[in-house]
Amino acid sequence: MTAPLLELRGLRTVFNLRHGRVRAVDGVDLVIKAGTIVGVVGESGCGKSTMAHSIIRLLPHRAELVDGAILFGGRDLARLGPEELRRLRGREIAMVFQDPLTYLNPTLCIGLQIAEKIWAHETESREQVQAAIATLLREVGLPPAVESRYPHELSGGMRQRVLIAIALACGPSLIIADEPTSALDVTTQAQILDVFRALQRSRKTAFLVITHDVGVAAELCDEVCVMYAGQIVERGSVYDVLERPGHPYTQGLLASVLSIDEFRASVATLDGTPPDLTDPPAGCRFHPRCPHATAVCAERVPPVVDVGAGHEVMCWLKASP
Amino acid sequence: MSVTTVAVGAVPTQGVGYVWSRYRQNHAAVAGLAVVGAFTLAALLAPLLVPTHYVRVGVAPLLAPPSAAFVMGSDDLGRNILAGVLYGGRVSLLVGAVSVAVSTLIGVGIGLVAGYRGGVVDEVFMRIVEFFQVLPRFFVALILVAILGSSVWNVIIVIAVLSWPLTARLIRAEVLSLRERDFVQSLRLLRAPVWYVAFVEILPNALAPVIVNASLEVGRAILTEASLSFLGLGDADHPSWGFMLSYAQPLMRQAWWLSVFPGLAIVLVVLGFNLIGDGLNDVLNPRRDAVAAATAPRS
Repeated sequence: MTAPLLELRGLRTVFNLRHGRVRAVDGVDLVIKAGTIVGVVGESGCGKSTMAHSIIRLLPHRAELVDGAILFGGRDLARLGPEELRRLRGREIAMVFQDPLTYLNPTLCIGLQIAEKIWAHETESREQVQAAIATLLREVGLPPAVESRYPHELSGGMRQRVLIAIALACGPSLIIADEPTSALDVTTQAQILDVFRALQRSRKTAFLVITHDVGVAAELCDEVCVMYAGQIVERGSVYDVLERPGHPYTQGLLASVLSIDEFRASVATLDGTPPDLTDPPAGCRFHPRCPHATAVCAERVPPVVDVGAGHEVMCWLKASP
Repeated sequence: MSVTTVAVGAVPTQGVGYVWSRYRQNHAAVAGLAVVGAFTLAALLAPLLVPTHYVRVGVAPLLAPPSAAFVMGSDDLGRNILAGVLYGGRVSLLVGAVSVAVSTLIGVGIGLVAGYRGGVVDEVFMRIVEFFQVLPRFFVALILVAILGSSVWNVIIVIAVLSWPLTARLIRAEVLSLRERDFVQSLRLLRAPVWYVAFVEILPNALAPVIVNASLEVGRAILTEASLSFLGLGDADHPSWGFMLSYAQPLMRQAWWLSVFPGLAIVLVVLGFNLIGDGLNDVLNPRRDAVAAATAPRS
């Protein structure tokens, strides 16, 4: 087994709001091995994005990383100073966001926008940067002419490729992609997923992909974590989790996915909404919505049970009596 | 696995060509540009179009009405009114252009710093802006020019100093929102130099309303200068259109051509700048389209 590239231990991030503390990420453990693609799936508001942003400490003012360790390259990112964080971001861990238009400056050409990220970290000559830009564009499947284009002249998929090129600019070993394909149509989405996989192969880059789309996770990821109410409730290889979901939440999530293979008169849905994270339910956080809930679920936090080959489920149903 | 490469088709380019292709569709704006262009050209080519400068007296019969030799007639000192309109255009347009250039530079500088730095700097700068905005512009200009002396350059400086606050407010408002945009935030996180973020990333995105305002402001500055000159605070060495109007006032009933031609010139040029401003606003201000769409009656 290869050494972990990134390891989260008991990560806790809260939002300090007027009406209370929202425990957005509540005790998350996560391991990403070098060169693997790990997906995090879950509903809106379950803490996926907050967890991703916590890793490179890009949190809004109200949010606070209160506990836990973020081990990366022999350091604990939770304890880095501002200058060390600046050097880390983009160079060792980069991010790709959902909406490329807000991230790209409408008045600057693409080449310059890639170049400024390179210059932020390395002092390279103009020729070296030129060459690097051409290589990066080729890697993400864009023709060299894009360099002199402006963002509004590109399609959504091309802009997302540009964002990936920017993320790659300094050769990070981990790229965190927060809903990278959610703003794209399905064909473009597939192409972007191809780009990610090609990069995983050619560069051995690891990816942490945040998505609410189980289909994206199935297509792309090696491992999948399912998040619910700030906690990871199930994790394992993509086959285990999606083929043999152990947690009732995962089962519900998968049942609600629309498929073109089968016609369904009505879509199976999970009743209810995720709980208020200022005051999460006692015991298992999913028990108010769980069809299989028993008395113990409401009282005690369920154990994490390994149901085989690293496939872990946090549920009383799997606990041996 | 290979990555699909996408093709880039021929797409309209940004910049001057794009702005012009949209501006061109607005006939009134094109007319405005033509009028301003014609006056500018005529003012520049004045020595070729008329034989003598307006300040030369006795080149024409006294108080001659418009004729083939003197198409705009002459005044009671025998000055050629056509020469006055052409050379006066130099003064009026110079005052308009230079005072707006100076006021835009001041406004952009103050607005950029206030919006970007925020906090105490912003508070202080905005109080200064408000101080200038509550001044009755024309009367302060009157007093300042009266005290400083009425040379062309004094008039320019006074107009510039009194008209920058609107530009500063426009830029500040744009910068405040641009500062929070992801592409700016990411560079700030990466500690890009402040000048780079301010001038390369933010300023080009904030300029559209300022360009529109500048073209409207030129018209306003020309009017202010004309008003000052009309009240006798013009530069007698460099007579402008307003100066001619002032001179024509006592003779208005005997010689209509003394006031009509310079007056017409002022009206046309100011109108021209306003049409240009409106045209640029249509092209550069995307919100206008959105507002028009939102307020359009639904069928």
